[in-house]
Amino acid sequence: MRVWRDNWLLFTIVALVLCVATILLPQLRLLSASVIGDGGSFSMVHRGSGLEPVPEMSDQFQTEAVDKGNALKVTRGGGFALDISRMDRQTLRLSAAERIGTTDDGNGHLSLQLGGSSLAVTQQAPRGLFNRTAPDPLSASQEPDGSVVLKHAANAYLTFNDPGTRLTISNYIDFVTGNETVKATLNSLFISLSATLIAALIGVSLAYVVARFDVMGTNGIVFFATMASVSPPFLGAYSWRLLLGRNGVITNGLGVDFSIVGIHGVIWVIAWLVFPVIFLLSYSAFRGLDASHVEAAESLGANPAKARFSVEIPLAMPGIITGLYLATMAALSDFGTPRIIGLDLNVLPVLIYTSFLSEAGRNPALAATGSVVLVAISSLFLMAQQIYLAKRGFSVVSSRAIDRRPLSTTGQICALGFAGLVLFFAFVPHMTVLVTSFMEWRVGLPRFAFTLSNYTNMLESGLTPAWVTLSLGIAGTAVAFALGLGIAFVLVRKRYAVLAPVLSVTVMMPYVIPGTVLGIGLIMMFNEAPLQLTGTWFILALAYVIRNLPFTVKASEAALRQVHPALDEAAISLGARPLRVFLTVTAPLMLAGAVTGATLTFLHIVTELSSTIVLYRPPWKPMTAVIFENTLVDADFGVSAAQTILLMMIIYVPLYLVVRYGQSRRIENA
Amino acid sequence: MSRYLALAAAAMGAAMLVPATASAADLVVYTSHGETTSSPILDAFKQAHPDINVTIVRGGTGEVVERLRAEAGNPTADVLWGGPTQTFEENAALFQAYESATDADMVTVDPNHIWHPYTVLLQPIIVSTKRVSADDMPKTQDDLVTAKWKELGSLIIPDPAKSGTGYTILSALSGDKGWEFVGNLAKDARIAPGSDDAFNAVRDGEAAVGWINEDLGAKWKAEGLPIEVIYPSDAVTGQVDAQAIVAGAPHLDEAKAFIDFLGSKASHEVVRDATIRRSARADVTPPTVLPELGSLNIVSPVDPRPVVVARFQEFLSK
Repeated sequence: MRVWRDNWLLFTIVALVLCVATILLPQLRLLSASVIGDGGSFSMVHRGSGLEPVPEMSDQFQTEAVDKGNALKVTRGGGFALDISRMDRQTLRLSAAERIGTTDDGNGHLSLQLGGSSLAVTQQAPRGLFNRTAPDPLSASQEPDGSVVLKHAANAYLTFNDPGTRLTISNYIDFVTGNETVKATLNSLFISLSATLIAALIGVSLAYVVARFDVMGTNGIVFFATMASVSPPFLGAYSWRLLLGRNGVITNGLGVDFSIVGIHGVIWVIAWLVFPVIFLLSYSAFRGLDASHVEAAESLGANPAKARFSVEIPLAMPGIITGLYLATMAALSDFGTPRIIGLDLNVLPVLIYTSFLSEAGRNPALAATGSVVLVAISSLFLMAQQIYLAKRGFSVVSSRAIDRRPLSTTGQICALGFAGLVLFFAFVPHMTVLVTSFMEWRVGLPRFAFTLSNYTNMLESGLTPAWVTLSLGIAGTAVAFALGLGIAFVLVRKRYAVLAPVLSVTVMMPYVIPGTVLGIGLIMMFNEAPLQLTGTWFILALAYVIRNLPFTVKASEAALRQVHPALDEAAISLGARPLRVFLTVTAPLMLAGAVTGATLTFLHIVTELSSTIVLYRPPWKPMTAVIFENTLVDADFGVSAAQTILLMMIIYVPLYLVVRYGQSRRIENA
Repeated sequence: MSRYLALAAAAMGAAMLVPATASAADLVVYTSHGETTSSPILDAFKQAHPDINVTIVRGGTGEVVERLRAEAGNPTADVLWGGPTQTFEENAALFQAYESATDADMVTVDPNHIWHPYTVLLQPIIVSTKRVSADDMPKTQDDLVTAKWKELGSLIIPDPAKSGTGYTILSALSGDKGWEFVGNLAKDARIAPGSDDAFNAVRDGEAAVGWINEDLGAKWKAEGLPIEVIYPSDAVTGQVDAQAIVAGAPHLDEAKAFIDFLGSKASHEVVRDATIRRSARADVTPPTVLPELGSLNIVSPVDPRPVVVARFQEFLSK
């Protein structure tokens, strides 16, 4: 069979099966959870004052009082009708046109059979704080006339639940009519758009200045922006709250009545979180402009301002738009910032998380519906970006790089001042954490006293989270990198019919799936034997690999396009088998480009929060989850500040090495 | 490629082995108690039972219960330590009954012996002195229903759908004062997504007034933070914190020993002194900084959680 002879075809099939099982199926599972409703339920409360229906806890069944306080009639479409009347304070009689069946499994699980459906009966009775007696148990007995006598505890709420399932769009109707859900959706849209707008004003203008003028220390500015682009996502919110919250260091120091907590703070913090990606993409777009276009405009009499707005910016637009898209997506799916600095502000990722996993009531159907809505919104953003790029489908063949214009001393000072101010704001969080990691923390607030105890405590309390993070980072990067390389090879060189396009689409899907949603999908998919992965190290690794696959595939594709197929063919003509060609010729040639991609993957993994927070269970708790939770509870953040510094070292040391390595390579080539 | 896959498989295999070694310890305890609460007790337990090696897994109440639920078929945990009694009752199937001799010494007891009481936790009112002057301090729960709070920075309520403490407070207050009272409370209030968020918001002055777990309130007050803790004279809400043996616990005898130890007078005195919490034992005196239980009108939850969540939701969408 061809499959066994062609290793790559086998790989493609295996990769496709894995991707479908871990990317597509969890999303379908989520979608189905959002359109499946339960069979309905009804409740009543039976107190000394009488028997009353509880409409808040009734779904699909209608309960109406026949004799107020004494008798109820329960109906549902399809001819279901049940009469309930009180006999004494703890006894009810249930009767219907037909005979009612009862089953009791002896463990307190009681159910009734009526009209073709089964109803599970449960009771909840109030219990005084210092009460020592148990509420009377629930019991049912069949009467000769076909009715049932139900004995229950005093003052109990009785719930009758139909465990069946049905297809419904009621979850969506509830979502678009619910106050909380609509507000969360609007907040999410408003925050992501306005934060992106602010970030664009900062990022694009700084990129233009640095790309088109001869500003001192350009390499440094770009490096710092790259550093800012991979900072941990919760860092900004926490630090800004510490500085500018109602009880913040600066607000207290100045005695002003101001707080950054609220929607304005969320927008501010997210803008600083996402501006680096806009800056970096705009910068490379401006650098990629061809000198002849600008010269042509100027020779036709355009002044610099006109050339800027009619030639330079439009030509750089595809790069800028991609930056805007990535920034909007990051802002839309950010979980940490609104959770820390929003207080009572509801946004979609937080709504999804808290309705899926909270100390009290869970609502998986709401989480699933919210997830589908969030994925739909991000898909719309992606479509908008694609349509825009397709319309402006031009590419600039850059034959001659554009020269940077010299700046006067005043101009130089202004440009440096601008860049310095922007970088200062971007690094306020890092500096805050660095300073507070050397401060004494008590009851969740820092005191002005120098100490090293945070670091010694961190070493004493164990570095388990650091090992979890590192092991996940290394293993996740290795797998995402290897898979990305292989898949990119198949997509670029092999181009199998049907298989390759399907693989391509599936692999790119996580691009529009926010981390929270991805995590919930994986839990729904892998919560049962034989594939029970929830709560393990492995499910975190899986989530990280999936989330980074689009980036590693794209990076490898780009690197692969630079390796000419003739080199492969030469190796094949010398008798090497395809896999050997890949491992000995193609892979080494694309390695340099791919190392940068792998480093970014590693950085994404070790700073990942939104899927981590849904998926981790102790003891597999990465640093991001530990630090994030300490920002929310009354923990002493000192140790977490020290951990954040450690995390920043894990991030920035490899980044620095790659930038150094990359630059020296470029010089060698030149 | 096969080399990469083999490497990846090896890495994953190695990772799967680690939890297996963790379960070889003698007793696995899941707890929502922080380090300060748990470590003095664990040290004392180590002295009393040097042969039992305890492995602690820490997480929020919601997380650890979620983990127990996921592991129900093949549990690794022996004991869940911490969480209000309602959590144990709502998830009774995850736990097993054990009649500890110490159950009889408590101020309350689970007739089914699923949970074993540990501490009694009240929720007095917390006021930010940054936002509220001495003249405006509330004295009763009724005082929380006035328009002035909105100007001063609002009342903050932990969402009962997301916080067990929020549920306790609203269910107990509605039982004592009726649902109309809760509706009036909710009118101008801010709703926090968790109890810690609500506590911290008043501590930082982001909100003017709310409720607080009394041990934390006493700790903050002692640290000189800008807050005031007030026990309302009309009603104070409360809950009981407990522990239970996990259904199918692999180390049942050790788990029983741990439960017995947690119920002992010595351990309760350690907790009282380390954390400013009221012991659930009848014979252990409360921390001196907290008011006597007898001087307060304690109210506890009446309506079940789905009712409280649904009714509260209705008030909010008005």
